[in-house]
Amino acid sequence: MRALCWTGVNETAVETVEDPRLLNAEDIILKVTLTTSCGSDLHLVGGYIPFMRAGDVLGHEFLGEVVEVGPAVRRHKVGDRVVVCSFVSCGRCWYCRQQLFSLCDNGNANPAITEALWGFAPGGCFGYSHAMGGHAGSHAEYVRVPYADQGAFTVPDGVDDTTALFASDAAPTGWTGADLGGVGPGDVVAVWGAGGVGQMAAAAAWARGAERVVVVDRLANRLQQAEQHVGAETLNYEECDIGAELRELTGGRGPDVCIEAVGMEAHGAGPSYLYDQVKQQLRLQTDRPTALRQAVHACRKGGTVFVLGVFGALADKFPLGAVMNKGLTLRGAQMHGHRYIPEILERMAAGTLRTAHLATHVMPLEQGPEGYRMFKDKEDGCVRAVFRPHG
Amino acid sequence: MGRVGSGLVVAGVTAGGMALRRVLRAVAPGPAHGGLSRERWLVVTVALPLEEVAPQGRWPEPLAALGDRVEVRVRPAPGDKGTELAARLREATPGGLPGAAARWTGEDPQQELRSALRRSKQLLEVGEVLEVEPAPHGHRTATPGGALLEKVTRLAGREGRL
Repeated sequence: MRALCWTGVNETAVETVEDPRLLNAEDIILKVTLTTSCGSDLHLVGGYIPFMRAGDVLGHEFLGEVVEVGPAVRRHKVGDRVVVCSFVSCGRCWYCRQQLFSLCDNGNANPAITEALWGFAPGGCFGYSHAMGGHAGSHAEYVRVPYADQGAFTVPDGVDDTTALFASDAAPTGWTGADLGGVGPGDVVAVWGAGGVGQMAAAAAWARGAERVVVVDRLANRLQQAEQHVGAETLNYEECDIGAELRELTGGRGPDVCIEAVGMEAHGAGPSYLYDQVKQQLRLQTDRPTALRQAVHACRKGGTVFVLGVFGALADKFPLGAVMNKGLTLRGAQMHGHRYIPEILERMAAGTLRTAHLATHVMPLEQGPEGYRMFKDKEDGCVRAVFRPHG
Repeated sequence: MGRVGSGLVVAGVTAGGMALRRVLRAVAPGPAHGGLSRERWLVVTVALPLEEVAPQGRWPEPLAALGDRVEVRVRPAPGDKGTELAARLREATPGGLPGAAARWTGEDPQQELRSALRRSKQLLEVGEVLEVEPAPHGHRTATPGGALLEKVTRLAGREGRL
């Protein structure tokens, strides 16, 4: 089959690879209908998460048609149209039972790598390096899905493929941030990053009863999407003083919940961004926490900062004093998609959650390398490059 | 050096440094117990009640396969978290450089025990052990970084903080 592979730093290629096959009784094989690039892929493509091998198949956000089922699969049959959670989780360990699915004990076959990095290993993720389990990614004609009864969800009739695609990762990641960030009625929520995940975090904040939702970015087309499709207020950090704007918007208090949906390659303005760039390029820190710092400073006293963007290891000049002295709650997570995907699909079916606009550039898989280049460079207003493996 | 190579260096200097300290601590002989040098207990928590983890005192197959080479014990985990399944080798493994060499070549008995504990937990909780290989992949360019990562990946199910 054909698959989009990582071949080196900032290099990808479509290659012919072996077809996947059933390896465990709870597996399914999926014929991939749509599979999308995600901002977190750029950390892999750019070599910021150095656990990719040349030839690894990228992609973790996808939907498709079931073409083969393992003998222990109960919820799915050949022909089903399913969207698959980007995280690989068993559904039966203690963490899964607490609905902390991305922390699954049994989804990552290479636990030693992340145990050394972070103390304990989270679950596995499709196409997200050998540190996250070495699962082949979805930018391919076919993909194997382990624990399919747990992680694959039948798409309701009436929900189109492009909309449902983002129930795989972007939407449930946004839901994770707003839910575990404790967003509730009356809250003012600020979201850093107007990409797919940031927009979905804003949508999730509305769904949880937020009174006001503000999205921060520098890219006008993404901010425009956040206004038009999510109904958020927006701020362009290149054109204003974010801290002052947020204080003005919130009666001088600051947002109740600040969600950082940017991650380790944050952009920014001013000397702190320059500082982060220099330190990251000199390998003196792995992550640029520019947006996270701003979120911590902007957050109201006693508020919550949620780290939803992907970070790898170590960041410098973290404002711990602000966290402690302002009494902040600081929380982070990869996405616990299994917990939120059913609700998200219901909202999609009801027409109350819009996601199809994120797919600004849909193209055949063979154009994958060009799609990633456009996505990385934000060329032509690219919010997500989405691939059709079967033309 | 490319970004991946230098990224690996960063990982080596930071998390790897911490991991190395843990490795060295782990391969050093443990504290004396009744005059004997013992390995540390390695423990996993299984999200099942005790009677399902060790029915009629039978250990899960991967641990049972290690026979008398290991001591095994179970106890309920606090907070309804299941059962703590602990095991340790009866004989201490070599420390220092010989121990580190055994770990690098995948011949350290502690690795065998670690793998047995992880597989036991998966068999009990899920019913089978998650397989990842063979996974589809494109052309593997031969590079030092790739060779190192392949080695690390091969050991990653048998190593770690467990």
